[in-house]
Amino acid sequence: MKNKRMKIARIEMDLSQEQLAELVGITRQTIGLIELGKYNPSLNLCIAICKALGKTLNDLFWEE
Amino acid sequence: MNIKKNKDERIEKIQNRYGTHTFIIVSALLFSSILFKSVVMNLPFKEYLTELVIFLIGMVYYTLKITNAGLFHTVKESKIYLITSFALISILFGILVGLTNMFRYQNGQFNEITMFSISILTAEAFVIIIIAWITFEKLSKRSEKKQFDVE
Repeated sequence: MKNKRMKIARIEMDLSQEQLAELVGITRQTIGLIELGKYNPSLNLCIAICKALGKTLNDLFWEE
Repeated sequence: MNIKKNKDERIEKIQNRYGTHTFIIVSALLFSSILFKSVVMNLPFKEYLTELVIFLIGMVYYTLKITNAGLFHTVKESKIYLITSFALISILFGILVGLTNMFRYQNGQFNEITMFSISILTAEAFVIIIIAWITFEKLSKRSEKKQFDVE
């Protein structure tokens, strides 16, 4: 399932996939795959992404 | 904002996966080469010593790392499956080496010495595999216990 909340949070912070990837220390492709729902990140990576986007795990990764 | 810089875990996983495949392929090729040189071509030991050393180093390194990580004893196969596999490997080893010796030293004549040699080799291989397995299982359990005690 696509992770639209992560994509919206990234756009709200005016960050490109490349910039977010640079902040977290991973590749742009991985960010792209997480947003497309084609890669399940580890908890550590989720936390790093949340910190970079100023969100909580619930905001970005908890599905209702 | 304090963001811990990560290694890209997705890329690491892919590299590990292909690294594992490469290890399996190289080991299989080395093993085939050893078998071909020793059994089919009947070459002297020194002709395939290098392959054997490289093969053994790889296997020993892998086994020790897995044991040290406390993962050796977590193999999910049942005891019956494991013992059957060990028995089959031992029988194959016994037959292979026994028949090679038969062609080398008995002019290809199958007799009671061949049968005796196959039986002894099979039993030896089986006992060695079982002892090695039990040893690594114990070491692995100890290593796991140590890790949990520390954390």
